[in-house]
Amino acid sequence: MLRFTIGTVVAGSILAYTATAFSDSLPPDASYRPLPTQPFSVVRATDEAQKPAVMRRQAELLQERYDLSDRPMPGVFMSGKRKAVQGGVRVKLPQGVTWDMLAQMSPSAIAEGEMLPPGFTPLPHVKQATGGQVFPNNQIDTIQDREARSLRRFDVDFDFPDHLTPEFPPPLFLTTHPELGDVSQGSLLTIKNYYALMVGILTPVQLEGLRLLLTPFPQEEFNQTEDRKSADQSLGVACLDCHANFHTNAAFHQTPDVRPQAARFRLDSVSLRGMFNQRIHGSKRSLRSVEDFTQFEQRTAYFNGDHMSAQRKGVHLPDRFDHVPMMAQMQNIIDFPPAPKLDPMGRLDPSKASERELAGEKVFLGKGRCAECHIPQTSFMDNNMHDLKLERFYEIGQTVNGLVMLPDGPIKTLTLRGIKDSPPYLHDGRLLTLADTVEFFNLVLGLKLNQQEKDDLVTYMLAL
Amino acid sequence: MRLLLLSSAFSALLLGPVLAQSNPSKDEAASATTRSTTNPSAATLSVGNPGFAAPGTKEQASGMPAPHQANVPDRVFVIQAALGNRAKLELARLAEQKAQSEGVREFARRMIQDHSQADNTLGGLAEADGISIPNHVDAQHSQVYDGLSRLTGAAFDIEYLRTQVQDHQRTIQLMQYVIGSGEDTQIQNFATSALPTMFVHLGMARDLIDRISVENPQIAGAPPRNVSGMPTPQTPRAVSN
Repeated sequence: MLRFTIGTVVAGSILAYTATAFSDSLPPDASYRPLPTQPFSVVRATDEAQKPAVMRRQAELLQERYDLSDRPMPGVFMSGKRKAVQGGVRVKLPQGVTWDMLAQMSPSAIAEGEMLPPGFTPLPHVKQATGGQVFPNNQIDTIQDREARSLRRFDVDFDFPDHLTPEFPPPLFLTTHPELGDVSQGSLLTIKNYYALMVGILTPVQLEGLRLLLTPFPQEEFNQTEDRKSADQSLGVACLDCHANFHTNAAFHQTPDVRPQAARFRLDSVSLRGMFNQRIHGSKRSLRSVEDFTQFEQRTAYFNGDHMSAQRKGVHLPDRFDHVPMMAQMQNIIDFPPAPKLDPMGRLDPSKASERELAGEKVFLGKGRCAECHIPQTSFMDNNMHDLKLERFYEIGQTVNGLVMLPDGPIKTLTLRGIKDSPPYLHDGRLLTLADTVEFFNLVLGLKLNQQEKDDLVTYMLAL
Repeated sequence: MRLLLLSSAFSALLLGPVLAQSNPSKDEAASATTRSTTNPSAATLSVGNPGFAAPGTKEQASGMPAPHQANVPDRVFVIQAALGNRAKLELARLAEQKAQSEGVREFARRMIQDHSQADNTLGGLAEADGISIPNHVDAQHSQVYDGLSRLTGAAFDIEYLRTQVQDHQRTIQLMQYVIGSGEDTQIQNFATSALPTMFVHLGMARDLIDRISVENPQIAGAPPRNVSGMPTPQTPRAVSN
């Protein structure tokens, strides 16, 4: 049996010890992106060979967690009226478990019994070890067509079916022109068409900001080095490739704020609608201005938290006194979609709202506790971060498709204005419908809502 | 109750991957990775970013590394995990003899039980992949043992637990590192299977520290002894001023 060799005893007080334990660091590539080791052609061939198994693995996970069927709510459409809103609870329950049963159980009892629906737990990236930005096919095809720029990866594809993502292209509303309504003309804003679409509507400053937000710059997976996942050398990615028309197309990535790689949780692209009222930015970082955020994401190759790797691929450093304010000013005029049933303070107008919507608002403000964070007067957010402590309900440290499931910690409150337009939900997109979010918070907050109250909440959120 | 169940499950999980080295096919490997929280024994599919793989990596199928072909992260992990595991065992044996608190002695026995099994499994993984684990204890852990062996009573208990918090935090990060960057499925499976239990150990050590520190505020608040390398939970105040 191996035993420690006892070192020389230092005479005198125990305070005289000089050893500091465990000072050896973890390997550097636990934080830093390693340099590539193989030629591009070899990497691509290996990635392509792995791809069928990788996609099958993710598809199986999604099938296990969710009902992915196409079940739109009759007569309910997103703001552009191009896509129906999907209905029903899609998170699957463990066998023999009901929502009412779960609602009556304590968090520890649910954890002990391993009864938390897997769809409530963190959602893995389609290829966790590689990570990076993954775009939906509608975005890829449109940018290929309009800009001859490929956003397609050879190692992975987008994982959710199209009917569970936002309408594409999403409508675009401006605070400076509420009288116009959607100013996108049904088009996706690109570097090719933005000028023709927006001159006469935007100021020169806003136009320049928009140009920068549509200009591709090198990104971790889309660049000109051997360390890329696009078949051809890529000019890069633009801000609005994920935030399509300043909304979201459900493109996903991983958080830049966590290491090692296996612990980086998935990020669902957030809508930029209502940026003018947001005081903190980034799900985890709580950056204090959109200027900080805009500048910094260019610095780190878009959400990788690695300024060193970005440097090698060609980093874009927008000037803080000129470029950044223009980009920020453009983002700060993006409005929410119209909500004709809301009064100026974000409350339902009883003369316009239905009985069920009003009942839902009552639950939202009261028993549902939704308005404690999603405050109607403050664009349905509170400019705070909150920790839902979901780890009360499951055993942390489990690995699913390469993602180590850990406590989410504090996450920024996202707005609920126009929420029907931006599935999937939660910061990582783990919930597919509004009904899923109601069941999730019913459990996490211990609300014990009845079915009528749950249905009313969904009805209410469709009106926001 | 839950901890006891986890403990016995941990031993089985640590053995599982080694007993199941049957070179799973690509389909089997892919299927095994899709699991719910109710299936903690599933395997891991080694599909890292091939851009960082060693040139000439052998494949069992197109795109799938052949078994027992440890890359650098695998090797770093096995060596560091084995060293850390030994240290946890040795320090636990010391704690079993010296700890004042029955709770700490119970924690130490749990460490001996769980990490003895891990020691065997890591040894098997290292042998299968031709990884040479140093047969001596690293100097840092040796010094920690040295320092702890001169403490008694609550001072020992608190300082021992601090080393365990720090070492389990390190082990947890190392396991996550190899899960994301490793290439050998067996090694990744070991980390995947053991990781939840490391969080249980960490939680136990933190809870014990909190309890014993509150019971012994003067010892817990004393200046750092440089045994665990961890800061004390409170800074001693000047008498005057």
